[in-house]
Amino acid sequence: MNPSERNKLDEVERLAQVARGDQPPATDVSTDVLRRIRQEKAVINERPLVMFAMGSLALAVIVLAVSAPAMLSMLDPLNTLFETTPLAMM
Amino acid sequence: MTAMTMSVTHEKEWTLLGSAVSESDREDIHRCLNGDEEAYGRIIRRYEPQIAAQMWRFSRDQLILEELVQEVFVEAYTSLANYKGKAPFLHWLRRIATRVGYRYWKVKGRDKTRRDTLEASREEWMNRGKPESPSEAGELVYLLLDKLPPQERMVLTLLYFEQWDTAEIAEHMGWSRSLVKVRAFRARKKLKIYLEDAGYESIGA
Repeated sequence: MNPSERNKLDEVERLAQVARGDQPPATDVSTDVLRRIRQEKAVINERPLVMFAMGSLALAVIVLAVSAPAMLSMLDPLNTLFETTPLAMM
Repeated sequence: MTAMTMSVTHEKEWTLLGSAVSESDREDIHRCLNGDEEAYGRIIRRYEPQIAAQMWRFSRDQLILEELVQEVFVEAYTSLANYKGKAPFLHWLRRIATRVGYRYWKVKGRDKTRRDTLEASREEWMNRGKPESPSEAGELVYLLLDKLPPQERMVLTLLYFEQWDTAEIAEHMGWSRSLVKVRAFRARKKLKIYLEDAGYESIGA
């Protein structure tokens, strides 16, 4: 790196050194942070209930999938006799 | 486990906090782990100026700054149980702040409108008089570093502002030390090219 290139980067480093004293605008986030924490706590408290509901839903879908064919055959017992025979069986 | 699900079972853990933790922090962390929100409010007020100053390097927009500072303290709260007190509490917070800021850079880098606006500001700043105040210097360095991809920008920010060495950066960012050096080298090279293209002789001279 030649001296001119070095100077360019030194200038950026010098600027960064000056910029370390840069003060941000005043902030006051404590109220908002505590509100967000309370909201997240509420979500966490609801989590078991949500998990239970999702589990119940999954179980209901499985039961429906298993019981639907049985229900159909009960409604129309002769239906199975007239089902088209798969080609592979012919 | 988050601070929210904690109970008195952490009584034993908090007493194991290392000696790097100040007495006031130790007390407030303990109270906080036992569900005292006001204690966390005190922690926030104690460290907000330092964290805000750090996040000011990630965004110069006051609204975004406040969001980032909030995010840091919310994340710190949810990870409070993982704080072992091996380093002062502020160091631990600063690491979370770095992560939050880096994530922000990665997301906002995709915003083209914002990039165009910054490009215009950058050109304007390059033609202005030499920065006199820390605020002006901060603005100009921010605009210059914004030319870089987030990884390279992060390396230079940590080197220039936090004054971490390459080993610290590597450890914190989960990169190898040689990768950090390569990224610092590339970043400086890009900055040099940019300054040349911008007709730089001496910034603002």
